[in-house]
Amino acid sequence: MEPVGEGREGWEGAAPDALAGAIGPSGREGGPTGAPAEGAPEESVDCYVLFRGHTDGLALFSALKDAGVGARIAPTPRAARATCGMSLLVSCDDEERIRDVARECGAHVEGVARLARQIRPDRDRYC
Amino acid sequence: MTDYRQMWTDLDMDLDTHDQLCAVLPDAFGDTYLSQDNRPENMAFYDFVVSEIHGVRPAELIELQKQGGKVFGTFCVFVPDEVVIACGGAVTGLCGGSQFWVPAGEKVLPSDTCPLVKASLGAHFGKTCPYFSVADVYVGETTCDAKKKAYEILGADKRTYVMDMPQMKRQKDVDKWTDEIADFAAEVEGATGRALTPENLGAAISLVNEKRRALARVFEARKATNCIPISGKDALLMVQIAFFDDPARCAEMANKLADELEQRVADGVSVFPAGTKRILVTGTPLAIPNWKLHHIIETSGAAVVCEEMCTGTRYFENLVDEGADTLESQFQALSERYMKNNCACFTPNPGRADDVVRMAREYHVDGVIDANLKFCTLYNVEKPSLAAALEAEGIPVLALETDYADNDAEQLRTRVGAFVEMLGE
Repeated sequence: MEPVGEGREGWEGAAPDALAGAIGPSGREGGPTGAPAEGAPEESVDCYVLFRGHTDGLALFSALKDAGVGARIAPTPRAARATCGMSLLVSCDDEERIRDVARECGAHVEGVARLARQIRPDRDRYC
Repeated sequence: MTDYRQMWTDLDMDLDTHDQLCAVLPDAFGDTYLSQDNRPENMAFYDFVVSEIHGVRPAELIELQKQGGKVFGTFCVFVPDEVVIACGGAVTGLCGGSQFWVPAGEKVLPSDTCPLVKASLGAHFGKTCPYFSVADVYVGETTCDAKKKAYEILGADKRTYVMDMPQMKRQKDVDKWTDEIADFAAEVEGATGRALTPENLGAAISLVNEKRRALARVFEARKATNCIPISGKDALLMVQIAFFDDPARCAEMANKLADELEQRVADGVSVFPAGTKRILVTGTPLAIPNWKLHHIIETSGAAVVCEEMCTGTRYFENLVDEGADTLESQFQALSERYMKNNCACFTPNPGRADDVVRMAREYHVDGVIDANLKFCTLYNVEKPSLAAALEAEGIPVLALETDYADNDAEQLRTRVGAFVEMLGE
């Protein structure tokens, strides 16, 4: 398994709408599922929950939804791991709660990667 | 994550080069899709499909093959999926939508060829797409010059069956397509080892009609005037995935999404602010992962509320008549449905302008963007007549031509932004 690291430090050229974030299924604000909290540092950090397989990922996604914890399914960023597959994009503030939910539902979490915000809607780099 | 590298190795793929695509997909998807606010919850399924796009579905297709089924790779919505499904096979759309594949395609095709065709051949010859590697048979059609000649090149390397698409829409052309479907059915029977019967074809027609109805429900919700319940990018992603997903699951997930959208319409829940300009996009297909134009439009003050194209309404509009009970009459019913597609490959093609005007009204659009891929003579030549038809109806139109590269994004933003601003005047 590729090591899960801290990823890139710092945030370069964040566009305002990239930092605005989205309201996730839980409707909570903060991190990737909502607007930055007042007084929050300029650099936004997101957490990606990594899995051995998509079965664990989907199980945790469903459990988090039931628990009212915001999470979005995302392709695993290369900065998090060198192999592809699904991850869950979450607020780093929820990490402990997410690990609790994972234990409760039996979903194996391989790791949680903390990365400077990867999403840049103004990047205009397509694939 | 489930390690698919062994599966890709067994498919004789070029893993190192393929990994370059895997490396850029997360950022492209994140920038385009995960930057959105208030997406429907049921888009989670489609996010999952993209997250595992070269893993889960190819693995399902391989499992089907282990059980004796065959996988048919297609490049056009004229190919009747129903025939393949009836013989226990699976259909996977193979049109390439990424610049990543274009350089490999330019090794076998002239550079002044449609990027979709170049990307498709590039994915095959570069061995960088598991769907190409998994397919047992490619099914081509003589819709345009680029495709016609491209299938000669593909066919020299892999079993490729080409259907002869009529050029016109006279009754004898519909009858000709009926005969082509009958010949295709014989090919499918030979490839699968399974006999086509009125019963299994009838069941397949019913299944695909159900899928069409489900997709149509999602589009119907986009006609709402009190809100925009789903972004054009999300609707496009749903249709793009419909080309290669299991049809029953596609219908199920599209119906779930439609249920949510209908509730959003009832509750007035909108993805975009009130007053956002509504755009219909028409033109050449937007094969996955071609999200560039939609993203530029929807980050320039507008929303795409309809796509009149093969990766839009043409994919699901019009159902096949389920009343036919003999193979001959079923082939005729299939032909009559598929020949209603107003693709620019037909001459004349007045139906397309009629469709665009009609849909512009039905979807309450503020403007139309007519966008085609570079080097597409068919859709390029139709631009002036389509523009004239729209202008006669007082519907503003912007004509664009692009490819898969990133280098015209700023130009497109400038033109789209100016168009949207003009709509506001």
